Formats: sequence, C-alpha cells, structure tokens
Amino acid sequence: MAQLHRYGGYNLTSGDSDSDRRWGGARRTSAGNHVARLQTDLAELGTYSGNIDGEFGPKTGRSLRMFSWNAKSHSQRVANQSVVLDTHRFSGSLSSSLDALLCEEISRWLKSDFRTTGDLIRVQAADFANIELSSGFRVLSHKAVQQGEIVISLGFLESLKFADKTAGTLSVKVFLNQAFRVHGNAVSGAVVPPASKSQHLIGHAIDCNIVDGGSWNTSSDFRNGNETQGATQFIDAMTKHGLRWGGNFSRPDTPHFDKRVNPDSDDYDFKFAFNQLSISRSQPILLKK
Amino acid sequence: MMVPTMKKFMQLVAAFAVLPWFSSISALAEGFADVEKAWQKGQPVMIVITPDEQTPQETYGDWSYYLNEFEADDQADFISIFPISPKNAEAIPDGYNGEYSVLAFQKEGPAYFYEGPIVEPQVYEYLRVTFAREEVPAHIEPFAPEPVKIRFERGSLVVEDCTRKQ
Repeated sequence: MAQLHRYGGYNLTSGDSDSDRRWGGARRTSAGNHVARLQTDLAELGTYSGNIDGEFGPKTGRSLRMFSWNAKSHSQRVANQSVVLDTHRFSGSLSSSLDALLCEEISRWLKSDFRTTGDLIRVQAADFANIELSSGFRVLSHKAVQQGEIVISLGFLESLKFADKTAGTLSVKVFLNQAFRVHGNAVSGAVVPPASKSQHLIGHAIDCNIVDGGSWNTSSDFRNGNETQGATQFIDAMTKHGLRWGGNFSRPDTPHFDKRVNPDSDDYDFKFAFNQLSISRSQPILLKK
Repeated sequence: MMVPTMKKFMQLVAAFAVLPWFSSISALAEGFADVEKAWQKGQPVMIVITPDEQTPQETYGDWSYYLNEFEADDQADFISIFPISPKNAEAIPDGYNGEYSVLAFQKEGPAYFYEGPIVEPQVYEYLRVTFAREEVPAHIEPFAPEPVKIRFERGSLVVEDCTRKQ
C-alpha cells in the first residue's frame, strides 16, 4: 500500500475526519491532516472547490468521483497552459472513496503537473469538404478559438466526420448554425430561462440546415412536407448511425442532431462540468486536425 | 432592453378577448399599453408564446438559446420582445396562440407570424433586416416567416387574413 502513504496509508472515505482522527472508516490514535491534504490535492487538480476543512463529506466524495471519471474517460490534460495527451490510461474504478490505484493516479498527476480539463476540441470547418458555417454561426467566445473553428466534444468528432462523409455521398451541404454551447449565455438579459441540460452544453450536438441544391430544408420546409429527398436520405443515414434527429422529437427541432449522453447520468454531469469549466477557466482547447 | 415582467404581461392578456369576424387581441388591459406604446413609436414588436414546460429538452434548449441571443444582440433595443405564457395566450386567435408561436409586427411596417419554435437564427435575422428596411440577403430568404397583416384598432390588436387559420 505504498501509494496510500500520501494520505497516511488510509483508504479515505465518507465520514473520515481529521478533527476526529478518523481515517479509513475507523478511529486512529495518531494525529494527521490526511483528509485536508486530499482536499488540497483535489483542489489543485481542479475538481474540489469546497473548504479545506479536513472533513470527508459529499463534496470531497464527488470531487474524487469527478477526478476518477476524468482520468478514465479521456486523455486530455492541461499542463503548463497547454493541452497534453496523457498516454497512461487509468484502470481504476469510478469511485467516491480513495483506494490505492486512485491514490497512485493522483500522485502521478501532481508529479506531472497535470490538471483536469474537458474533452472539448477545435476543428476547422475548412477541413470538412461538405460542412460550412452558416451566417448565423457564432464563433465561440474564447481566447483559443479562431474564426472558422467549430468546438465540439472529442466524443462527437466521429459523428461530425460521418455527417461530412454522408453529405458528400448524397451531394448535399451541411450548414452549421451551432455546435458546443456555453451554459447560461445571455442570462442577464434573458427573455426566457435557458435550458439547464442539453447535448449542446457537453459538445455532443449540432444545429444545421441540409442544403440540397437550391433548398435549405428549413424548419418550415419540414413542417410543410417540402423537404428534399437528399435531406431525407441524410437524416436516415445519420439516425441509422446512432444519432438522434430533432425532427423526431415531440416538438420537432429539425436542425438538431445529437449523440445523446443520458442527461441523468454521471457521464453527462461530469462531461458538462469539465467542458463548461474549461471555458470559464479559459483553459486551452486542443486543435484537432 | 426593457422586457416586461410576467406579472405585467399577465395583467395585459387577462383582458384579451377574441372578437368575431376577424382575429384580434383585445387590448383592454393596462399592461398592453406597453405593446401598443412600442408599436405607436414605430418600434418593431414581437410577441412570443412561451412553453409551459421545458420539453422536449433539446427543442426548448435550442429555442431559448436563439431567442436569448437575439435579444442580447439587440443592444439598441430595436425590437421589443413580449413573452407570454400559453395560459394567457388563449385570447390570441386559434392558429396563432400555440406554444412557441411568434407574432412580429411594426406600425406601417411588415408583420409576420411564425409557427414556432424558431430554432434557426436566420429567422430572427430575417425579422431584423426587414424591420430595419434592409435588403434581405439571398441566403436568409428561405427562412422568411409567414407574412400577415396586424394593426391596432380602437385599442385592439387586429390580425387580418387569418380566417384560414381558424
């Protein structure tokens, strides 16, 4: 259990307390600040924002779970103000308690000066033969994002490539209106409350028009049954590929496609947290070719 | 941008009544003065029927995002937006009072109906350029809302040419 020495050798868990000298779920005789040290480390890594109080409560547990999720789910880390790709894959479990593997992972990150970040990437519209940015497309307001760039989750990249390829096969063009969305934008002067959850908020969705010859296949076109065959075929291919099309929603949203992550899952919550934080913390975003 | 409070707007629509022969919103409520005032000044006015629930999640998300961005972009308060709940939209003629529907109009200017939700920013852009009497770019043209005729008449908001909707 050498790895656990960082925190006194204990499997720290919920209910542990430095003030009660309770670590690893049991009362101890020696003094220490093991929980506080864990909290400090997690704050450094970017998943803990509570008080460094030495009390292992729900915030510490969630922070640990967030860290383990981040370490498992993707390889992007921030180090020295750059995004680096971590070649090591964390094999431990998603956990709200500390164990040897998780302790080792934390130590490795701190030694490498890694910090948690999301899995957002930048891609250039020009790299896609059949995807263009519409006049309504907004470049994400972030220091790293340039004109002509689209921000998505790495987990959506394959879907975007598939859309591009399919559009080429069907001789249609995909005009993007939006991809990743920053949560709460324009809240101060909002006419209506923004959605609390959306696949756009994690980078798993696009809004687009399927331009087929002279037709933009607008929402009105779909409502009136005037969509083109090319649009129908494109949608069919996308849905067969596992994507959702908003035209199938009970209240149709025909420009919308997403690769759904269950919004009531840890995967959604954590991806949302890291990807939104990467914007609010002005973390760098990897340019993917 | 001054957005009327829901309370104010509820006062406004509480007194709406549908008149026979033509579709109208009876503007008897005190709060409706805000709409008419903006209209009288020649300011474009947009009435948006907000949904009762934020579902489906993605549709609501897209609709609310583009609407809020449109409002945020309108720094000069060029268009006055009046959100109204479906409960209070019953007084708006059938065919125009569904959730997410939009009526946009300007005194001696264009008037439009859009059977929402508006989930394409080009629709808002179309409204903006036509109200500003700017030339509509060709790529925005396909997103044109349905033109209608709307005017205030003796305190009522009259929507003409809508019999086909009823």
